[in-house]
Order: sequence, then C-alpha cells, then structure tokens
Amino acid sequence: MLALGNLAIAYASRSGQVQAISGVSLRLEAGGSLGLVGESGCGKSTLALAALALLPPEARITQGHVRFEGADIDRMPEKSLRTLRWRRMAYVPQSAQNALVPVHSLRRQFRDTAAAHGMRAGEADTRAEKLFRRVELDPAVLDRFPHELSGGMRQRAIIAMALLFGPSLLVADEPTTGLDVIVQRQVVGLLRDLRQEHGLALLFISHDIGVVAELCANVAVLYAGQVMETGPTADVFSAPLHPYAMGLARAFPDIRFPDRAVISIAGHPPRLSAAPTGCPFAPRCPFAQAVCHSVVPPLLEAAPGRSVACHFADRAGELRARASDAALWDIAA
Amino acid sequence: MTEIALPAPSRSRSLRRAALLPFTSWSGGFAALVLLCVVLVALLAPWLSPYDPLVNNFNPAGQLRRLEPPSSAHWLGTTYYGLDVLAQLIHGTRIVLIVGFTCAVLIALIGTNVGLIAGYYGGRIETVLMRATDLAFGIPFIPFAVVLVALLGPSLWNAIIAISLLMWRSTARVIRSQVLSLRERGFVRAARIAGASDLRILYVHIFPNVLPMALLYVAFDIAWAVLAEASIAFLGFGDPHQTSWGQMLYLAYVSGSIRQAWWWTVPPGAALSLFVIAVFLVGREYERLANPRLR
Amino acid sequence: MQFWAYAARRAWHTAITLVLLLVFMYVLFRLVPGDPTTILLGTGELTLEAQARLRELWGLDRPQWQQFLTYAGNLLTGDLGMSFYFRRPVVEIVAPMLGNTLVLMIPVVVLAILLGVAAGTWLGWRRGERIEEIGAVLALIPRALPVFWIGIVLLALFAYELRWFPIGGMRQAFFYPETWYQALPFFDVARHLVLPVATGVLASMADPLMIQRTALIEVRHEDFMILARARGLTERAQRRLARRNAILPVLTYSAIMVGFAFGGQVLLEVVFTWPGMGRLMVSSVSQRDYPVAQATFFLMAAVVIGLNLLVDLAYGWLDPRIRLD
Repeated sequence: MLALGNLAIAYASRSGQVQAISGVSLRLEAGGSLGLVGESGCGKSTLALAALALLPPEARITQGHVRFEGADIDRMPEKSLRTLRWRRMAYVPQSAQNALVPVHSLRRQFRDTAAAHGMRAGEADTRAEKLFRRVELDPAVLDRFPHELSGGMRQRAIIAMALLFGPSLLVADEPTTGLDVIVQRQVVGLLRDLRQEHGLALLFISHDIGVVAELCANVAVLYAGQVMETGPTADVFSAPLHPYAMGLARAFPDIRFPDRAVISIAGHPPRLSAAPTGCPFAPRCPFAQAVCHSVVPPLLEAAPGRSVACHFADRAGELRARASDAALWDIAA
Repeated sequence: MTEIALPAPSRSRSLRRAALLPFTSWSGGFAALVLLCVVLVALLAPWLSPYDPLVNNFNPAGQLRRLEPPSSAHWLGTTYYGLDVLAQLIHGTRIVLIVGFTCAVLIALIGTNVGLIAGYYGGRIETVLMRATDLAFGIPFIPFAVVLVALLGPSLWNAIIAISLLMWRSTARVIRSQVLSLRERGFVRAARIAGASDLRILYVHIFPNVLPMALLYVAFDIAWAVLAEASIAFLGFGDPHQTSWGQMLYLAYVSGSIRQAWWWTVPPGAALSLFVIAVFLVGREYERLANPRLR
Repeated sequence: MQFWAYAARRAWHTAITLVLLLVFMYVLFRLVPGDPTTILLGTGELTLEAQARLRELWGLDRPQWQQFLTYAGNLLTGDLGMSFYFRRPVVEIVAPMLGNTLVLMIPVVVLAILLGVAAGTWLGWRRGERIEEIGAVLALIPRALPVFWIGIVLLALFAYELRWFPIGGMRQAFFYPETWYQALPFFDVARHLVLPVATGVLASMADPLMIQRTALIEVRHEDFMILARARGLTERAQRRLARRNAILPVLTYSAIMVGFAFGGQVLLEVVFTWPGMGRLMVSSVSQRDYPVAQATFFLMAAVVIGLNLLVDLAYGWLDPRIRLD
C-alpha cells in the first residue's frame, strides 16, 4: 500500500545541492511492518517525511515517485493531501520536548486535530479519553501541558493522537530513542499490540536494531541515502548478505554469545555534499575491491523477498565467515 | 539558547577572520566601510574641516552669514548663528566615537560582570542584582538622563555617565541567562572538581564563552549610546562646547529654522542614521556567527 | 503549575523593585548641593532665620532614613507637594498632562506592536524568498533614524510645506468646523495626532517586527510544526500556531518597549509641542522645579514597572513553561 519507487531527494543548501536520497525503492504491504535502519544522517528521516509527503520546501524530489494506496502523493496538491493526512496516514515523531505544541494542553491539541477534519470537540474528547486509556495514560493527563510529562508519557500521548482517526499507515521516526530501556519496552509492546488490533501498516525508523528486530517483519538497511539490503528481519540479521549489514549485526551484543567481542565499523559515513563514486560503503568495507570504488552496485533480488546491493553478493556466505573476525573491522577509513 | 563556538585553535588566524567577517556580504562590507570612514574623519577632523565649527563666519561686507544655503564657500551652508554646517558635521564624528566607545566599554564592564556574578552565584546575590536590573529596565532612559545631566551639569562626560548607568541592563540579562546554561556544563563541573576557585571558574572558564555574546550586545549598545547622546543634546542638555549632531538638530529646531534650512536639518540626522545602520549591519554579521540558524 | 503562585511571586518582586525605585529617586534628587530650601534661598525670599524654621518645618533636620520614609509615604499616597514654578499643587499640574501623554502614547505603542507583529509574521513566513531578505534590511532603517529627526522632517514636509497637518500642539485654540467631518468629535485632536503618531510608530515598529520575524523563523523549524502539517491543519491554522508560539518574545519585549516609549514620548512631545508629561518633565527640570520633575519621573517609572508586571503575568498565562521561573 506504500511504495517508494526509485526515489531520489535533494536538499538545496547554501553550498549547492545535497543528494540526500539516491534511487531508493521500498514496498510496504497493508498491515505489514518495515523497519528502516542506518546510522545518523543516512537519510532515514528524509524517507519517513517523503513517505508522508511532509518534505520541507528546500527538499526536492528529483526522481521517482511515492505511491500511497494507489495514489501518487509526491506531486499531489496540499489540499488533496489534507484529506489523507491523519485519516489514512499518521506520523509518530520522536517525543522530543517540542514535538507537541508547548503552549496548548493535550486536550486542545486533540481538538484542533479533530477540528481540522470536521470532527466536533465533544467527540474528539471522547475518543481522546478512550485512546489515552488504551495507551495506559490517565485521561486526566489530557489537561496537562507537554512539558509536564515524562518522555515515555509524551511518546504514548503522541501515539494516542496518531490513532485518532484509525489510519492504515503509521510512520514512526525513532519513537524509542531517548527513552530508558524499561519505557522502551512498554512503547514497543504497545506498538506491537496496536498493530495487531488495528491491522496497521508500520514504517519504523530507528538506529536501534534490537527494537527493529522485535517490531518489524521486514527491514531495509540504509547507508548514505541508498538501500544496501532488504528482506525479512530475522534473515537479514542472522545471515546478512551485505558487508554493512554484517558489520551492523556484529555491532550489537548477542545474548547467545555473551563473550563474543562487539565490533565497531571504523570510519564514518560520507558527507553527502561530496558524494563518492561507486558503492558508498566502499571506503569502510573490509572486502572492497577496485570495482566497488567505481561502479555503483544495483539493488538486485538475491532470493525471494531479499535484495542486496553488492557486487559480491553471491559470495556472501564466505564473506560472512570472514566478517565474524573482529580484527577485520579495525581498518582505517 | 544560542551555542557559542569555542575559539578555533589558531588565535591570530581566527581573530583576523573575525575582523574580516563583515566583508563577506554586501551589506556588511558597505557598513564596515562606513564605520571606517567615520573613524578616519574623526581622527583627521581638524585637517579635513574647512572651518572651525564654533567660529562665526562673516561675508566680505562684515555681515554674519546667517542661514546661507549650500554654496562653494560653505558646502553645506551655514546655521542660524553663522557657523559652517560641514565643519560641525565633521567634528561631530569625534563625539560619536568618544561616546560610542566609552559607553561601550563601561556598559560591557558593568553588564557583563553583573550577569556573570548573578548567574553564577545565584541565591540572594542574584536576587539583588536582578532586582537592580529590573529597576534599570523600569526607569525610562531619557527622563533619567535629562534629570541627571540637569543636576550634574551639561557636559559630555555626564551624558556618558547617564547613558552607562542604565544601558548595561540588557547585557546583564542576556549574560546571566547564558551563564545559567553554561554553569552546569561538563567543563565547569570538571574545573570545580579540580578545585578551582569560584573566581577562577568565573573569569577563566565561563567568561571567554560569554564573551562573543557580550561583544555582540555591546556592538548594538554603541548605536544606542550614540542615539541616546543625540537625544539628550536635542532636548537642550548637550555639551555647549561640543558640536554633536544631536545638538545641531537642537539648535536648528530651537531657532525656528527647520522650515527652510534643510541643509542644516538633514545632514546631522542622516549622518546619525547612517552610522547606526552601519553598526546594525555589522552587528548582524556577527550575530549570524553566534546563531547559525539566522543564516 | 499554579498560575497564582507565579503571580504572587512576580508581584512580590515588583514591590521590591518599587522600593528600590523610591530609594533611587531619593538619592538622585538629592544630588543637588543643598536642600530644597537652598533653592528658595536663591530667590531671595528667605532670610537665614526663616530658612532654619522652614527646614524644621519640612523635617529636613531629621535623620536621612526618617526623611526617606516620609518621602516614600508621600509619593505613594499621592501627596506630591507644591510646584516651585507654578505655585500650585503638583497633582493639579501633572494630572491633565498625564491624560494628554496617554492619548499620544497608547496609539503609538499599540500600532507599533500590531503592525510590527503583522509585518514580522509576514516576513518570517516567507523566509528564504528574495523579498524577505530585502524586507529585513529595509525594516532596520526606521530603527536607526532618530525619532526626533523623523519628526522634524515630517513636520517640515507635511506641516510646513504641504500644510496637510498642523504644526504642533494638541488642539487648535479656536477651531470652527467647516465641513461635516470636521465637526466629528475628536476630529481636531485626531488631526493633531497624525504626524506624531506616524513618527512614533515608524521609529518603534522595527523592534517588534524583527523580534517576531526571528521568533517565527525559529518556530517554523520546530518539530510540532511538522507534526501540525502532518495532522492535516490548514496553512492558515499552521501560521496561526506559529504566530502563537512566536509571540512570546515580542510580549516580553513590549514591556521594555514601553520604557523606551516614554523616552521617545518625551522627544515626540518636544518636537510636536504636545502638552504632555514628557514635555512637562523637561521644562520642569530646566526650571529647577523639582517637585514636578520628581512627580513626573516617578509616575513614568512606576507605570513602566507596573507594565512589566502585567506583561510578566500575561506571559505566565500564555506560556505554561515559564511558571517554573
């Protein structure tokens, strides 16, 4: 129901154009769940905003399309988009201090959202109270202000508001980041239950692989604005095909192997204003060859439901074995 | 609150870059040139000025050159009292610089220290200092300056005192809120644990970080101080021995000459405005440095 | 967070500030060498013996702190003494002038804020477009022009040359309306108001404009603005939300602005010969009429301090986060 087709997005900045996303294609089925993982700055948030047609004016879609429930929303006029907004697709941002309007009570914000779609205040209140109870918040909190709530409470309030009209798509951008582990657990559990109850499709952006593994059936690994690998979450992390995914899988402690050394991929992502040629991960890839630095590997289907963008995807098994050696990753960028 | 970038490693290189910053944009460059001109004119005033600004001019027939429009002898004409307008305009730059610079230094000293001490120590000291700042905000400036100058006598020095005694208030408030946010930062805590004394923390660690903000406000305060002195002079409380631009406008108004003597009324006002705009524009360039989101 | 606890705290701070103001004024007006009787001595009306008796009568021989208390008490209860110059109670002289000043000052402040906020919102919403860059620089220009100079230029142009408006004052001494609109109430005052108000607004609107513009630019980047668009709010509703969140700095500034407004008011009244408190203050200081000078000064400062309190309360009402201050 949500499809990004060969999408490319560029930001206009003082020093010229910055290509934030290059040729990304993703699919999300109705009721499905897709996680987007990657380091900071890889373009995850940009993709999330693009999926909701929420890109700021300085961002331009230079190529491709965004299709939601059969309609091309990337070139839809704002007026038509408004009928879709919140009713069919909702946004759950990170619960930062200013994610909600600081000077209005939560009840007021529910009412304003409702009013924008022609719902009366009375019904908005009823729904708000019901939703609050569902996310385990005391309805009395509705009369509070955002800064009076803890991070976890705010996040749950944001989720509650997102469900106001029972959308079919929820785009969540780092909803668990910045919360302590216990609260994270609650939010993840809440999202999982809600998905089952309402049959929501979930696009979940995070840099925390552990959380994505719990919530999302499928995952797409992003690097420097390009997709490196996609597939069912369990498969991608137990048997990754792309070196970057291999590195990520080894960068988290695994409870099955408590003594295994955690690696960190040396170096840092490229600056998007100075885009390198060839595979964007080549500078940091321990398996990079000459072809990797000159030719961009296309995203190809390696197995049913799994795609990877790597010149040496057919040798993934062998590379994976070598990747388990921690010393391999200690190369200078 | 704005984040201040800590100084770059090479001191002299960053200083030079800072000094040349205004020239990175058209408006900033133009403004900086204007200010440089003012400084130059002020320094070279006795040589540049065609006449003595306070000496009456007479024509060959022995009559006072009263309210003469611009001519080849007097490029900007003469005043009601036969004084050359251009000469007064040129010498006025000195007042502008003296007032601007002195007030800036005094305001910076008082305001920054009040802000530093109030923000750092908190408690009673902060309450007292902040109420004093509230008081300074509550007192309307012109009435206060008028009263003070009337009581102490109309002189440039008294005007400077009157200006500085109140204008430190904005700097104090801003510096205090800066200090409040810096106080809990890592490097301050580290210094405290290392056993540094309060004074040392305040002036060696915190002060350099509020300095850019302080300097920015001081830059704007220069403009206000100059306008303030002009206002005091316009009300008739200016220093009679000096030729400030505000005083020129006072004499023009009081002698009933504003109706016809545009050569007398326009130049001083235009000069004041130009100077203040230039200070604003230059200040804006530095403000962009402190707050990148304004770019 | 309880609003009333915050309000009480603010009121207490204001009280302290008022006390400080009284002390400050007490000291300030005694910078003159000698005491109030010396001035009368100079006019040759007092013998030395009579002066001693007068000093006793006025309590000038009592300790300073006692004098201060009497002084403070008098000011606060409205006993403002007698004018040296007019030989009448100060209250009689100042009261009508206060009204005249407000007639000029209130329109200036209100219009400056309204126009400044509107223009600032307009500019801030169009950030990044050419017109905004130019507009921002243009908006700075009136701020730099000395208010009295604007007044002089407008006077020379519109009053003297074009004769559209009167040269000064608040009313014409003998005004006989000739047309129907001239017969409207307050017409005479209104036409006297145009130039001074235009001057004052021109000079004062730049600050609210720039503050609102900067605040709006910052607010537009906030997360809740993205969320507002995602929630399906109309562009109007979004703009209103931005303005509502951006207005707080302007509100704080408006209190400071009134302080400046008094200063500008003095200049306006002098240039346009408006019979208000500002002009009275300047003339009374020149004439060494200290009771009047003191009274006007106190009134102005007290009004500004009071307004600061009102704005603090309004801010606390509008922005719940600040009540923790």
